[in-house]
Amino acid sequence: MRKSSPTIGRTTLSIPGPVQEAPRHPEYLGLPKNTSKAKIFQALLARGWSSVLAEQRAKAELEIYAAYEQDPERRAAAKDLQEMTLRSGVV
Amino acid sequence: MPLLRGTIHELTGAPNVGLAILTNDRWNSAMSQVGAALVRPEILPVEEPYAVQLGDGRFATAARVISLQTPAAEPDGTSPFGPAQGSLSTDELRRLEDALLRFLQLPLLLRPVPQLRRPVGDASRYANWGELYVGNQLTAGERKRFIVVSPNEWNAATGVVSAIRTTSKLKLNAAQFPKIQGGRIHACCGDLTTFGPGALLLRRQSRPTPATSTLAEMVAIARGLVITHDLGGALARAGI
Repeated sequence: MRKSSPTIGRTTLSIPGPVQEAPRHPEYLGLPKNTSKAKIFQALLARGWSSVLAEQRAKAELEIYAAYEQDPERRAAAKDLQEMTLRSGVV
Repeated sequence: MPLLRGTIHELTGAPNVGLAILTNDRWNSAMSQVGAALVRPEILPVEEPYAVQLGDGRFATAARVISLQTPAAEPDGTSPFGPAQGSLSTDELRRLEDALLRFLQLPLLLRPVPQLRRPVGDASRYANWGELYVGNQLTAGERKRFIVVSPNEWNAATGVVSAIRTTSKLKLNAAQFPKIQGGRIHACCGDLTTFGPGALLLRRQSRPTPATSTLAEMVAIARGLVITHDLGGALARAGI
């Protein structure tokens, strides 16, 4: 029976044209000059995935705020709260 | 155009007073109200631990973060945000973030074993950290509940209180809007604001029931504030 793994530790892939430049600039990834190509592409993948996750988090966060912006109670209360703040002598 | 974190705008009608925007830029791009620290020419001695002196000599103070409507929300020109006066430098912004982190006691709350600060002096004479109060004015026709997040020492010394609006009607489930009072209401962390003395009703008959939040709820609020006010970097600098 074929074994399958939920995670991929190793794979073969074609490097897209512009990305082939990466090994010439290991310093862009905070790596020393003599870093191997494999290590550079590893670092690049990690950096890329981290950016994807950050983008997804930002997108989800924006959706939450956009929904809150439309919240009828918030909209009704915003002006009154502002006046309560400014009239309270905090400035 | 959305207001940007770190920029300083004039407070309309008060040319010497600025507003240094602190809510995160996702919030600022989606919302018609943003949080900003007051920038003033002079501060109280008790404010110094929470203030950052800027290059122009004024002080941005983490003890007076207020939530105000943007010009986009008030197209008739009545927004408190006047023209831009400049920006905080990277160093000034970091020091202001660090001051806000300390002021909100986030390092105490977000350590592996959270710590609780006890009230100081006669706790009935000022709004207490972690407790709920209603405002002395009607908001959207109701007396809204606020949860106090400023430290007791500050509240006792100044009567000025930083607090977060709560709501029972919100349908969102997100870390920025943690549930408190046993899940009955949400705290809207991005709406952190500051009131002068007397804005919250202290007398016992006016207090909501229950009037106190749990430590776990305050930890959840702390996590929400880290997101809405972009305090992750400050938290890392504090070693947490």
